[in-house]
This record gives sequence, structure tokens and C-alpha cells, in this order.
Amino acid sequence: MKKIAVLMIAVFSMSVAVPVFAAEMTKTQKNECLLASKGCAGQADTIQQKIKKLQAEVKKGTKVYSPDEIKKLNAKLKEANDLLDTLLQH
Amino acid sequence: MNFKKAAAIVTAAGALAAISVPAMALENEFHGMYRLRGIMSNFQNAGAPAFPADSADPKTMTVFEQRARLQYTAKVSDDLKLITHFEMDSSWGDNGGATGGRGLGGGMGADSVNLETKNVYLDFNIPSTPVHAKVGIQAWSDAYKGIFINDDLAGAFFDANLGGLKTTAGFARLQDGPSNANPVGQKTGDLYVLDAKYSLTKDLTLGGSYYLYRNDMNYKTSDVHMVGLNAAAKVGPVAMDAFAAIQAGEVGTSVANKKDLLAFAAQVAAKATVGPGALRASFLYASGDNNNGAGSKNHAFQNPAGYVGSSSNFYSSNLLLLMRSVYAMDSDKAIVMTTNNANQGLMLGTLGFDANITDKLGASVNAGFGLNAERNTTTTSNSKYMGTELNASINYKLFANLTATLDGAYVILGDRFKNTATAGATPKDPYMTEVMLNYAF
Repeated sequence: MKKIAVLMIAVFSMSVAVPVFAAEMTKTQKNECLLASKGCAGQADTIQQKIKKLQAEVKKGTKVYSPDEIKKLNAKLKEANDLLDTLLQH
Repeated sequence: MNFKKAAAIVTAAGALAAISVPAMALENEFHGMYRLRGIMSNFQNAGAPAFPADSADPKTMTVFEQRARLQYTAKVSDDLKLITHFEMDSSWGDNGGATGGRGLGGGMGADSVNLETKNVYLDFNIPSTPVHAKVGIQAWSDAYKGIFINDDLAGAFFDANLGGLKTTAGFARLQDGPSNANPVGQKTGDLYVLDAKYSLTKDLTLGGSYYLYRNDMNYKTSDVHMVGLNAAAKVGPVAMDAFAAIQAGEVGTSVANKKDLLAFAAQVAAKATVGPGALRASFLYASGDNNNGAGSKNHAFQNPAGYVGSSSNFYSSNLLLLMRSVYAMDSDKAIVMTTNNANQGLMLGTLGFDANITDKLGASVNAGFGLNAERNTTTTSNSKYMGTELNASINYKLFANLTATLDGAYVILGDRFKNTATAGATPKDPYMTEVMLNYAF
């Protein structure tokens, strides 16, 4: 019994370390990545999407985030806005 | 199996698991932009000379220019990242292949080596301190809307947020001569920065600065000390800001022609939400020198000059011809290229309205008048009045990331420019229309 428990723990430790691979399409599912460039693995946010997401998180306020976390989110929002300005100006 | 054996197996499995998990993930972040301007103008292009010498009999010309920027950030964590920013500018038809170069490559055949490095800097937090550092070639603006410096600089800047107080200290090396290609660190142009901003309430911020621009290129020819105060407040739907700055020290291009400096600049601005948009107004004053810097003292507000174009601006004027436009690229040409304005200084009043007609459609109208603070050149007119610009634009968001703009600007020239073009001609009123695409991602 002890042996089995130890082996199970060992196997579990290994399994959590393996990266999760994206689920493959089923035979009846559309591949939205190939079809419309949506939901592709490794797709990154544009700067506008990043700004929108940060604004949405800041809006959640102290119900979700601590004051320190909100401060951090605001700093990231300012950084993203500054980045957009830097890209477009001068 | 005894307990020791079991513990050994679990430890071994755990260690195996640990080495198969990346110790620290590297986040690769790419952003960038592309802008195309199709310009029809008698004024704005990438050619020399500057206004008004180029304006005796300007014909209407069409210019197409484009800019792409790519930014890559290698982010190890929120506390450490490297930011790189590259730029490719071209005017269509300019040059290509081996004859191309910086700002070129839009000629037939293209293929020019025209990749510019705009920024490369390390951005990190110093552990166990509230200090954030940015070291390397980076964008930097003064706390005075760019009227002193708003440009890319190589330097080290450190800031810290201490409650409502944000302090910044920094140093930038602007030049290193006499041979800039082989810096030896003896004859240099350096900038020293101390900035502070304090939020009294969420709607009221006060700030103060001390900047020193030391141009030691000819052994201490310029020491521009600048002290400034700035404030921003929001009262109901109205946002206001103001600043004042004094410059003192010595300026000159050699030890022999060094002059005492005493100059100042001040600005007030307000922005109010009105109906579907925002109404803006501002007034800027920067002192000039009536001896063109040749008297015993110089009273003209100073801007360090960069290697490429002008290093100061006042983009918030939203003017396209009278002042430098935020959208200008190779065609960066304005009647007032720096706040110093050839030692004449500047008085500038602006009024504008930005309307959000729908989520996708916007419009903007602007008017601005400019005068020299001082006259210092001999012309047939004693007027300081440079002119009044009227401009309007319509923006339409084709996609969330792509905006198409149609704009037009016209400057009614003032008597300051009477008979000042080549061969004593009076310059024609500058105008411009353009179609512009702006993509950012």
C-alpha cells in the first residue's frame, strides 16, 4: 500500500511538470485559427487590447484587488498608454 | 519499503519534476506601428531649405511618406525587461539600394539599408528599494510639454514613488566630441535632471524641476540651469494645467562669445468636456532676445539641439504647419521649429475642439496664432505677427487598430514674413491637405 502511494505521488509530481498542449480540433470543429486568424495558439495581445484589459481590471476595484494591486495595475496601464504614445509620436 | 526509501523516491521524483519546469519564463512582447501620409502641400516636404527661404514661389507638390516601427520587449518579470525599438522611414521615390540609407529606401527597387535604432534600454526595479531604473537610449520628455526637450536620449533615469510623491533623477549624454564617432568623454554635452511631482488630491498635482544642460563641447561654453514649477488640476468637467520655468547661466558656441543667460517660459491650458467632445485652449510664452543672442546678455529660451532635427516641440498645440506636427516624419517642417525660434521666442495661442461623433468617427478643428516674443532680424516690417493657422481633420476607425484621417491646414501669414523669402519676395500662405493611415498594434 505504501509502495503504491509513493509511486502515485511520484507520478503526480511528474505529470504536473509536463506542459499542457493545446487541445486538438475534433473532426467536426472548425479551425478558427486557419479560417479567421482567431484563437491561434501563442496569439498575443495588441497594445490596444492590453490597454482595454487593464482598464477592465482596474474597474473591478477593491472588490477584487487590494489597493496595492490596483496601484500596480494603474502603473501598467500608464506604461501601456505611454508605449502607444511613444509608438505614434515623434 | 521503509520511510527513508520512500522519502528518497519522492525527493528524486520532485527534483526531476523541478528541472523539467522552466525556472523563469521569458515573455516576448512585440508591438509596432505603420503610418502613411499622402500630402498635397506648398510647404510640407522633406526638402531643404527651411521656411521662409523655400517659399518665394512654392508650387503645390504631392509627397508620400511612410514610417514603420517595431518594438520588441524581452521581459523576464515585472522587475526586469529590455526594450528595443526600431524604425524605418521612407518617402516614396526617394532612393534605394546602395544609394539609400537612413530615412530612404522608397525609390524604385527599394532594398535600402534603412533600419534605425530608436530605443534600446533596460527597465528594472532595484530590489528592496522603491527605485525604478531605465538605463540606455530611451524617449525622454521634460515636465513642460516638451518645450525644452522631448526626444530620444542616451542616459540613466531613476524614479521612485513615495506615497503621493514621485521623484526622478537622471543623467543623459547628448553629445561627445570633438569626434562624435569616437567618444572620449572629455568635450561633452550633458543633461542632468531632477523632477518631483506631488499629488495633493486625486485632482490636484504640483510639480517642480531642476534641469542642467551643460555643453562642454568647447570647454564650458554653455551652462543652462532651468528651474520650473508645474501644476495640474481638475474641477468638474474642466482639466487645467500651468507651468512656468526660468533659465539662467551662460550660453554660447565658444568661450569668446559666451553670454549670460536669463530667459523664461510659461504656459496655461484648459480642456473641458462639452457636448460630444472636448474643448481645448492654451497660451504659451517663451522669451526671446532682441539682439539675436549677440548682446551682452541673452534672454532667449534655450533648447539643446539634437543631431537629427529639432529636439523640442509643443505637440499639444495640435497645429500642423505653424508648430511641429506630431504626425510629421521626414517632412518635419514647421514655421516654428523650436521654442527658441531662432532666438526670437514665441507667443502662441491655440483653441480646438475634438468631437467623438460615433465610436468610429471623430473630428477635430483647431486654430492657433503665433507671434515672435522679440524681433531680432531686420526686415521691411517691424511686425512680430507670424500668422494664424486653421486646421480641421476627420478620423475614421477602419479597424480597432487602423485609423484613416483626412486633414487640411492653412496658415494666414503675418507681416513678420513680409519680403522675407528668396529675392525679397513675400512668402505665399502655406497650406496642406493629407490622407493618413495609422496602424498600431
